[in-house]
Amino acid sequence: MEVTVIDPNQVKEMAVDLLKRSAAHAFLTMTGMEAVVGEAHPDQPRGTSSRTVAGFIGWVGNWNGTGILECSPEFACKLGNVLLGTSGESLNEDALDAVAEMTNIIFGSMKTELEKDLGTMGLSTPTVVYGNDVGMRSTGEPFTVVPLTIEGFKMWVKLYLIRVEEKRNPLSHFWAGTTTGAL
Amino acid sequence: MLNVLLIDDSVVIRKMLKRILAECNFGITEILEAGDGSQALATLETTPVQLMLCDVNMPVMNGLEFLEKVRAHATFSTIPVVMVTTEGGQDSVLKAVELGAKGYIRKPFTPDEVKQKLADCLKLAA
Repeated sequence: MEVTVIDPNQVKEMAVDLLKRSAAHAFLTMTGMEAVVGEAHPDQPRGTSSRTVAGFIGWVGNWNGTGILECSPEFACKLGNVLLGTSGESLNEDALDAVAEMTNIIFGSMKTELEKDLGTMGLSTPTVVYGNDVGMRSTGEPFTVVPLTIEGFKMWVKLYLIRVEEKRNPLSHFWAGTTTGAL
Repeated sequence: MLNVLLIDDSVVIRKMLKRILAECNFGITEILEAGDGSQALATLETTPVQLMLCDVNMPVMNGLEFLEKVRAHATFSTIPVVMVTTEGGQDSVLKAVELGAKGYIRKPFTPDEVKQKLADCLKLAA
Protein backbone atom coordinates (compact mmCIF):
# COMPACT_ATOMS: atom_id res chain seq x y z
CA MET A 1 0.00 0.00 0.00
CA GLU A 2 1.37 3.35 -1.02
CA VAL A 3 1.34 5.98 1.72
CA THR A 4 1.45 9.64 0.83
CA VAL A 5 3.12 11.78 3.49
CA ILE A 6 1.65 15.24 3.55
CA ASP A 7 3.84 18.10 4.76
CA PRO A 8 1.64 20.16 7.14
CA ASN A 9 3.26 23.41 6.00
CA GLN A 10 2.49 22.58 2.36
CA VAL A 11 -1.12 21.86 3.31
CA LYS A 12 -1.44 25.22 5.01
CA GLU A 13 0.07 27.01 2.01
CA MET A 14 -2.28 25.13 -0.31
CA ALA A 15 -5.25 26.03 1.89
CA VAL A 16 -4.32 29.73 1.80
CA ASP A 17 -4.03 29.65 -2.01
CA LEU A 18 -7.41 27.91 -2.27
CA LEU A 19 -8.91 30.42 0.13
CA LYS A 20 -7.70 33.41 -1.94
CA ARG A 21 -9.25 31.92 -5.10
CA SER A 22 -12.41 30.82 -3.32
CA ALA A 23 -13.02 34.26 -1.78
CA ALA A 24 -12.45 36.15 -5.04
CA HIS A 25 -14.62 33.71 -7.01
CA ALA A 26 -17.43 33.75 -4.42
CA PHE A 27 -17.73 37.54 -4.34
CA LEU A 28 -17.52 37.91 -8.12
CA THR A 29 -20.05 35.15 -8.80
CA MET A 30 -22.62 36.01 -6.15
CA THR A 31 -22.37 39.81 -6.19
CA GLY A 32 -20.58 40.84 -9.37
CA MET A 33 -18.05 42.68 -7.21
CA GLU A 34 -14.36 42.14 -7.84
CA ALA A 35 -12.16 41.45 -4.80
CA VAL A 36 -8.55 42.66 -4.78
CA VAL A 37 -6.70 39.98 -2.81
CA GLY A 38 -3.73 41.04 -0.70
CA GLU A 39 -0.79 39.09 0.69
CA ALA A 40 -1.50 36.56 3.42
CA HIS A 41 0.09 37.23 6.80
CA PRO A 42 -0.23 36.06 10.43
CA ASP A 43 -3.03 37.72 12.35
CA GLN A 44 -2.08 40.68 14.50
CA PRO A 45 -4.18 42.88 16.78
CA ARG A 46 -5.18 45.96 14.80
CA GLY A 47 -4.94 48.26 17.81
CA THR A 48 -7.82 50.59 16.92
CA SER A 49 -11.37 50.39 18.14
CA SER A 50 -13.69 49.37 15.37
CA ARG A 51 -17.15 48.10 14.65
CA THR A 52 -16.99 44.60 13.28
CA VAL A 53 -19.21 42.00 11.69
CA ALA A 54 -17.57 38.56 11.55
CA GLY A 55 -18.90 35.27 10.20
CA PHE A 56 -17.43 32.12 11.81
CA ILE A 57 -17.46 28.57 10.51
CA GLY A 58 -15.65 25.41 11.55
CA TRP A 59 -14.82 22.03 10.11
CA VAL A 60 -13.56 18.72 11.50
CA GLY A 61 -11.88 15.70 9.97
CA ASN A 62 -8.23 14.62 9.73
CA TRP A 63 -7.67 18.37 9.74
CA ASN A 64 -9.71 20.71 11.89
CA GLY A 65 -10.11 24.41 11.39
CA THR A 66 -11.97 27.66 11.77
CA GLY A 67 -12.69 30.24 9.11
CA ILE A 68 -13.67 33.85 9.68
CA LEU A 69 -14.93 36.52 7.28
CA GLU A 70 -14.54 39.89 9.01
CA CYS A 71 -15.88 43.14 7.59
CA SER A 72 -17.41 46.46 8.57
CA PRO A 73 -21.15 46.89 9.24
CA GLU A 74 -21.27 49.16 6.18
CA PHE A 75 -19.99 46.40 3.91
CA ALA A 76 -22.34 43.89 5.54
CA CYS A 77 -25.27 46.20 4.65
CA LYS A 78 -23.99 46.57 1.10
CA LEU A 79 -23.58 42.80 0.78
CA GLY A 80 -27.11 42.16 2.01
CA ASN A 81 -28.51 44.76 -0.39
CA VAL A 82 -26.59 43.38 -3.39
CA LEU A 83 -27.52 39.75 -2.70
CA LEU A 84 -31.17 40.47 -1.99
CA GLY A 85 -31.91 43.53 -4.11
CA THR A 86 -32.81 45.60 -1.06
CA SER A 87 -31.74 49.07 0.09
CA GLY A 88 -31.27 48.74 3.84
CA GLU A 89 -29.12 51.39 5.49
CA SER A 90 -28.55 49.84 8.90
CA LEU A 91 -27.21 46.52 10.13
CA ASN A 92 -30.25 44.28 9.94
CA GLU A 93 -30.90 40.52 9.78
CA ASP A 94 -30.44 40.46 6.01
CA ALA A 95 -26.96 41.99 6.32
CA LEU A 96 -25.91 39.59 9.08
CA ASP A 97 -27.32 36.58 7.22
CA ALA A 98 -25.50 37.71 4.08
CA VAL A 99 -22.16 37.68 5.92
CA ALA A 100 -22.95 34.24 7.35
CA GLU A 101 -23.78 32.87 3.92
CA MET A 102 -20.67 34.30 2.24
CA THR A 103 -18.60 32.76 5.06
CA ASN A 104 -20.29 29.42 4.36
CA ILE A 105 -19.70 29.68 0.61
CA ILE A 106 -16.07 30.83 0.79
CA PHE A 107 -14.91 28.26 3.33
CA GLY A 108 -17.25 25.55 2.05
CA SER A 109 -15.68 25.83 -1.40
CA MET A 110 -12.18 25.80 0.07
CA LYS A 111 -13.07 22.74 2.15
CA THR A 112 -14.43 20.87 -0.88
CA GLU A 113 -11.13 21.35 -2.71
CA LEU A 114 -9.03 20.44 0.35
CA GLU A 115 -10.98 17.20 0.76
CA LYS A 116 -9.38 15.84 -2.42
CA ASP A 117 -6.08 15.59 -0.49
CA LEU A 118 -7.07 15.62 3.18
CA GLY A 119 -10.19 13.42 3.23
CA THR A 120 -13.76 14.22 4.21
CA MET A 121 -14.37 17.09 6.60
CA GLY A 122 -17.67 18.07 8.16
CA LEU A 123 -18.65 21.74 8.02
CA SER A 124 -20.47 23.54 10.84
CA THR A 125 -23.36 26.01 10.58
CA PRO A 126 -22.01 29.56 10.22
CA THR A 127 -22.38 32.00 13.10
CA VAL A 128 -22.16 35.79 12.94
CA VAL A 129 -20.68 37.95 15.70
CA TYR A 130 -21.08 41.71 15.59
CA GLY A 131 -20.26 44.63 17.83
CA ASN A 132 -17.57 47.09 18.89
CA ASP A 133 -13.96 46.14 19.61
CA VAL A 134 -14.53 42.45 18.94
CA GLY A 135 -11.36 40.55 19.81
CA MET A 136 -10.61 37.08 18.52
CA ARG A 137 -8.09 34.54 19.65
CA SER A 138 -7.23 30.96 18.86
CA THR A 139 -5.08 28.61 20.90
CA GLY A 140 -1.80 27.57 19.30
CA GLU A 141 -0.80 29.22 16.05
CA PRO A 142 -2.29 32.55 15.01
CA PHE A 143 -4.81 32.72 12.20
CA THR A 144 -3.53 33.36 8.70
CA VAL A 145 -5.18 36.51 7.37
CA VAL A 146 -5.93 37.23 3.71
CA PRO A 147 -6.90 40.89 3.26
CA LEU A 148 -9.45 41.77 0.60
CA THR A 149 -10.57 45.08 -0.80
CA ILE A 150 -13.93 45.30 -2.54
CA GLU A 151 -15.11 48.65 -3.94
CA GLY A 152 -13.07 50.51 -1.32
CA PHE A 153 -14.23 48.33 1.59
CA LYS A 154 -11.57 46.42 3.48
CA MET A 155 -12.23 42.99 4.89
CA TRP A 156 -10.26 40.04 6.16
CA VAL A 157 -10.63 36.33 5.52
CA LYS A 158 -8.95 34.41 8.33
CA LEU A 159 -7.95 30.76 8.40
CA TYR A 160 -6.93 28.47 11.24
CA LEU A 161 -6.06 24.94 10.17
CA ILE A 162 -4.45 22.20 12.19
CA ARG A 163 -3.83 18.50 11.70
CA VAL A 164 -5.57 16.42 14.33
CA GLU A 165 -2.28 14.68 15.32
CA GLU A 166 -0.64 18.07 15.95
CA LYS A 167 -3.56 19.06 18.14
CA ARG A 168 -3.34 15.82 20.16
CA ASN A 169 0.40 15.92 20.84
CA PRO A 170 0.29 17.92 24.11
CA LEU A 171 -2.11 15.31 25.52
CA SER A 172 -0.39 12.21 24.17
CA HIS A 173 1.05 11.20 27.56
CA PHE A 174 -2.40 11.48 29.12
CA TRP A 175 -3.99 9.21 26.48
CA ALA A 176 -1.14 6.65 26.74
CA GLY A 177 -1.69 6.56 30.53
CA THR A 178 -5.40 5.83 30.25
CA THR A 179 -5.02 3.08 27.65
CA THR A 180 -2.49 1.17 29.80
CA GLY A 181 -4.70 1.53 32.87
CA ALA A 182 -2.26 3.73 34.76
CA LEU A 183 -5.12 5.74 36.28
CA MET B 1 -49.52 24.26 -11.76
CA LEU B 2 -45.86 24.60 -10.86
CA ASN B 3 -45.24 24.89 -7.13
CA VAL B 4 -41.57 25.05 -6.17
CA LEU B 5 -40.23 24.14 -2.72
CA LEU B 6 -36.97 25.78 -1.60
CA ILE B 7 -35.18 23.81 1.13
CA ASP B 8 -32.21 25.55 2.75
CA ASP B 9 -31.40 26.62 6.31
CA SER B 10 -30.00 29.89 4.92
CA VAL B 11 -32.68 32.59 4.74
CA VAL B 12 -30.45 34.56 2.37
CA ILE B 13 -30.17 31.71 -0.11
CA ARG B 14 -33.94 31.12 -0.02
CA LYS B 15 -34.56 34.83 -0.67
CA MET B 16 -32.01 34.88 -3.51
CA LEU B 17 -33.53 31.80 -5.14
CA LYS B 18 -37.02 33.29 -4.78
CA ARG B 19 -35.86 36.40 -6.65
CA ILE B 20 -34.30 34.29 -9.40
CA LEU B 21 -37.40 32.11 -9.74
CA ALA B 22 -39.58 35.22 -9.96
CA GLU B 23 -37.57 36.23 -13.06
CA CYS B 24 -38.07 32.85 -14.79
CA ASN B 25 -40.82 32.29 -17.35
CA PHE B 26 -41.64 28.81 -16.12
CA GLY B 27 -45.21 29.56 -15.03
CA ILE B 28 -44.40 29.15 -11.36
CA THR B 29 -47.61 29.36 -9.33
CA GLU B 30 -46.25 29.31 -5.80
CA ILE B 31 -42.85 29.27 -4.08
CA LEU B 32 -42.76 27.48 -0.72
CA GLU B 33 -39.88 27.42 1.77
CA ALA B 34 -38.48 25.02 4.33
CA GLY B 35 -35.48 25.37 6.63
CA ASP B 36 -34.53 21.68 6.66
CA GLY B 37 -35.54 18.29 5.30
CA SER B 38 -37.97 17.62 8.10
CA GLN B 39 -39.89 20.86 7.49
CA ALA B 40 -39.85 20.07 3.76
CA LEU B 41 -41.47 16.66 4.33
CA ALA B 42 -44.17 18.32 6.45
CA THR B 43 -44.83 20.80 3.63
CA LEU B 44 -45.06 18.02 1.06
CA GLU B 45 -47.76 16.32 3.15
CA THR B 46 -50.04 19.34 2.85
CA THR B 47 -49.18 21.11 -0.43
CA PRO B 48 -48.60 19.67 -3.91
CA VAL B 49 -45.12 20.48 -5.21
CA GLN B 50 -43.72 19.91 -8.69
CA LEU B 51 -40.06 20.90 -8.22
CA MET B 52 -37.65 21.14 -5.28
CA LEU B 53 -34.34 22.92 -4.78
CA CYS B 54 -32.48 21.48 -1.82
CA ASP B 55 -29.31 22.26 0.14
CA VAL B 56 -27.16 19.40 1.50
CA ASN B 57 -25.82 20.71 4.82
CA MET B 58 -28.84 21.45 7.01
CA PRO B 59 -29.66 20.76 10.66
CA VAL B 60 -32.33 18.27 11.82
CA MET B 61 -32.45 16.44 8.44
CA ASN B 62 -29.79 17.11 5.80
CA GLY B 63 -30.36 17.13 2.06
CA LEU B 64 -29.15 13.59 1.39
CA GLU B 65 -31.31 12.16 4.20
CA PHE B 66 -34.25 14.10 2.75
CA LEU B 67 -33.57 12.69 -0.72
CA GLU B 68 -33.62 9.15 0.70
CA LYS B 69 -36.98 9.77 2.36
CA VAL B 70 -38.45 11.33 -0.78
CA ARG B 71 -37.26 8.50 -3.03
CA ALA B 72 -38.83 5.94 -0.69
CA HIS B 73 -42.20 7.71 -0.69
CA ALA B 74 -44.86 6.54 -3.12
CA THR B 75 -46.18 10.03 -3.88
CA PHE B 76 -43.11 12.26 -3.58
CA SER B 77 -40.61 10.07 -5.43
CA THR B 78 -41.53 11.51 -8.83
CA ILE B 79 -40.89 15.16 -7.85
CA PRO B 80 -37.60 16.34 -9.39
CA VAL B 81 -35.01 17.60 -6.87
CA VAL B 82 -32.10 19.88 -7.75
CA MET B 83 -29.36 20.16 -5.11
CA VAL B 84 -27.99 23.65 -4.39
CA THR B 85 -24.94 23.41 -2.15
CA THR B 86 -21.29 24.14 -1.36
CA GLU B 87 -20.73 20.37 -1.18
CA GLY B 88 -19.40 19.99 -4.70
CA GLY B 89 -17.01 17.10 -4.11
CA GLN B 90 -17.34 14.09 -6.39
CA ASP B 91 -18.55 11.82 -3.56
CA SER B 92 -21.37 14.21 -2.63
CA VAL B 93 -22.47 14.65 -6.23
CA LEU B 94 -22.43 10.90 -6.91
CA LYS B 95 -24.35 10.20 -3.73
CA ALA B 96 -27.00 12.77 -4.62
CA VAL B 97 -27.35 11.36 -8.14
CA GLU B 98 -27.60 7.81 -6.75
CA LEU B 99 -30.38 9.02 -4.50
CA GLY B 100 -32.20 10.44 -7.51
CA ALA B 101 -31.27 14.14 -7.66
CA LYS B 102 -32.01 15.51 -11.14
CA GLY B 103 -29.43 18.29 -11.02
CA TYR B 104 -26.67 19.85 -8.97
CA ILE B 105 -25.89 23.57 -8.56
CA ARG B 106 -22.72 24.44 -6.72
CA LYS B 107 -22.53 27.56 -4.55
CA PRO B 108 -21.42 30.19 -5.48
CA PHE B 109 -23.88 30.42 -8.36
CA THR B 110 -25.07 33.05 -10.81
CA PRO B 111 -28.79 33.58 -11.52
CA ASP B 112 -28.25 32.34 -15.09
CA GLU B 113 -26.77 29.06 -13.83
CA VAL B 114 -29.82 28.46 -11.67
CA LYS B 115 -32.27 29.33 -14.44
CA GLN B 116 -30.50 27.07 -16.94
CA LYS B 117 -30.36 24.11 -14.55
CA LEU B 118 -34.04 24.46 -13.71
CA ALA B 119 -34.97 24.75 -17.38
CA ASP B 120 -33.02 21.54 -18.12
CA CYS B 121 -34.67 19.80 -15.18
CA LEU B 122 -38.20 20.83 -16.16
CA LYS B 123 -37.58 19.70 -19.77
CA LEU B 124 -36.54 16.27 -18.49
CA ALA B 125 -39.56 16.07 -16.22
CA ALA B 126 -42.01 17.01 -19.01
